[in-house]
Amino acid sequence: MQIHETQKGNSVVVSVEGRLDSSNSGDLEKRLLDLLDKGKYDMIVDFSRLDYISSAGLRVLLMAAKRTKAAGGQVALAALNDNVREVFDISGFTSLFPIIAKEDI
Amino acid sequence: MHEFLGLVVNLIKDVSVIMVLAYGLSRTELFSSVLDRKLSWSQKTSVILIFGLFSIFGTLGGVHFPNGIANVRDLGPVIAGFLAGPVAGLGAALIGAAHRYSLGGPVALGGSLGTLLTGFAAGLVWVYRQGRFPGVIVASVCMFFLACFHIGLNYVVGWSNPEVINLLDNIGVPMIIANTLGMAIFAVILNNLINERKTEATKEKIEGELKVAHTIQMSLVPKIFPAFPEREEIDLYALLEPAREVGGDMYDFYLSLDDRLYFTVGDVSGKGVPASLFMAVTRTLLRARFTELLPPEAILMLVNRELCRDNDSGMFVTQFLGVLDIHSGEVMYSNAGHNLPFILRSNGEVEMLPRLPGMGMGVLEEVEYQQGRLFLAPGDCLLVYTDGVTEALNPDYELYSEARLTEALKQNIGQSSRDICNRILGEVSDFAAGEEQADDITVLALTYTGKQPFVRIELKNDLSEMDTLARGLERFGGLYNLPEKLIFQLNLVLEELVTNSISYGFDDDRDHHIVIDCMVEDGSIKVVTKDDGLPFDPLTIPEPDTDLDIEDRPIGGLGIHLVRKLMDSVEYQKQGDFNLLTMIKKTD
Repeated sequence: MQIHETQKGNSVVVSVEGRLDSSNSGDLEKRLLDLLDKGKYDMIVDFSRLDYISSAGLRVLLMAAKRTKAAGGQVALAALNDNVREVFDISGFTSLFPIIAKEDI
Repeated sequence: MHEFLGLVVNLIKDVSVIMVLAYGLSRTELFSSVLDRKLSWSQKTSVILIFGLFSIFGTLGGVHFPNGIANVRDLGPVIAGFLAGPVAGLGAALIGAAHRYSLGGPVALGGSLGTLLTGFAAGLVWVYRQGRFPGVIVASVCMFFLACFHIGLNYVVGWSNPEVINLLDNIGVPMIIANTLGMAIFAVILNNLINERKTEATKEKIEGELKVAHTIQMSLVPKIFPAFPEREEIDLYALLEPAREVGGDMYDFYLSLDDRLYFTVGDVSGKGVPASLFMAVTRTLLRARFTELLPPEAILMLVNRELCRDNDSGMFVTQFLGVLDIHSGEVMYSNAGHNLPFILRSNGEVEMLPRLPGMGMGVLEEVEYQQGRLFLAPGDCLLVYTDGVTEALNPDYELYSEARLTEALKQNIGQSSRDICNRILGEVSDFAAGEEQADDITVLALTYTGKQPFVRIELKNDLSEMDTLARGLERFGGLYNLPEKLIFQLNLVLEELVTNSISYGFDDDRDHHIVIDCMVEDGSIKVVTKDDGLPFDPLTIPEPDTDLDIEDRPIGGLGIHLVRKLMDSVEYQKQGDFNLLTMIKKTD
């Protein structure tokens, strides 16, 4: 898994590539916590190059969403592929996060 | 002077006759016993009689003078003495002497006494040399002195008789010359014979050792088939036909505890004992690595390093090494410069494995080998062989060739591994049509019958094993050509379960294993997970409320929910010390 950050307007875009599973979800958690500590409460997580996600990844996203919402921000998700989208649907996460297309980042 | 030479020539004629007879005698079994110094009494008697007759011939064939005979009578008894000791020497001399004495004349006493003493003296030489025949020079010198002694004795005995002295003056030197020459010739004949026997013995010894080497070589390759009668998934057969007594070909196989079959075929450069020794070393090094359950390319790399160390012989070995997962039919292989194996597909096609980089082992220490992967579907057969097959020559010096082998394999698709191997060997031998087999021939056929193939994934209780899980499922997907979405879902479900077990299932610091078997049954995917953690039924975890808001959603508790939602059925069972979870997922 690889994580890249770019600034886009007021939001920070975090793109996650590869496989996000229980062996590496801690890395993403640390990156997001760093951003929160820096006061970045508007995040877009770009999943266009994400191949795989499990509940460990969902857990990190939910944690980030709780923290940003409390600070008046939000975590938006971009460009979910079908397989990833299904996981979000089943988990009821689709309604918790604004979901946008790749072009809308 | 003329008379002197004539006498010498005449005596040499006699000597020649005796030598021809002696040569004939040297080819008999009696003579073998003489040289082996294992004479029975009856054989010793034969020696006495035969050389006694030579002695009589030496008298009769001699040149007759009014007062005596110029002769080579002593030759027979002296040879008998040299060959078989004082008894034989004296015995043969007694016959010759008695005969001479019976002829009478002024030198009858001296002549017969001389023969007796020289025969006995030759026997003493035998005693001194502990039964070994003296060399050409020693024998000739001895004979010279004995002949001189014989003549000298007669001078002494016949001193008062001028006629006797006159006779001895005429015949003494020619007799000494003829006897010495005769002994020299005989010693040369005998020497050649002894050397010949030595060469023969060495040859027999080498042949004997080659036979032993052959037995050892053949005992290094497993020969009991079926090799794994209890494993119905595999039908394995191999044969090795050495070109000479021993060669450098080898094959081997090993079934690991986790049901992986290591199989290998190798070919050492060269033939004969050196090649077979190198082969034995290679085989032992490989064997040791099989038990470590390493992947094939790692085994070749390690064995290559060990072979390169102190390899002064300049020999090398080409080696193909495969590892079959007997549940899934997946084969991982690596190739150290060996000729490319064939796959006989059950649909009638014959494919050659792709070439992998990597040279023969034993040349360069730093060679890296690569891994190839293939799947054997039930009914497919993998054929590994050495170039003794494709490079067999017919009387027109044509190669059997890969093309002919491919054709032969096509004819034999669907046959048992044993039949395939035997038919290939038969084809090659028919093709050679009597032409000498120039190289070892090895054929190994591995048919995958795969009664109920499944992919087993084994994980340690460590979150870093998620990659292993993903790769195992890719393998499973490849085997059954499953859609990517399905593999994604299976991966997700299994990760949730495995993560749960790893995080909460073990309350000690020991290593544990989680075993996952994936299979296809009646068009559905069946996955069984097994671990030895604390008894825990994941189905007892309550369903999360997926309609809650961000603030109210608890973090966690989603994993088992995903398992339930993505699988069609999930059943928990406690089986002994194991947690057993059986899941079904319909494929459409």
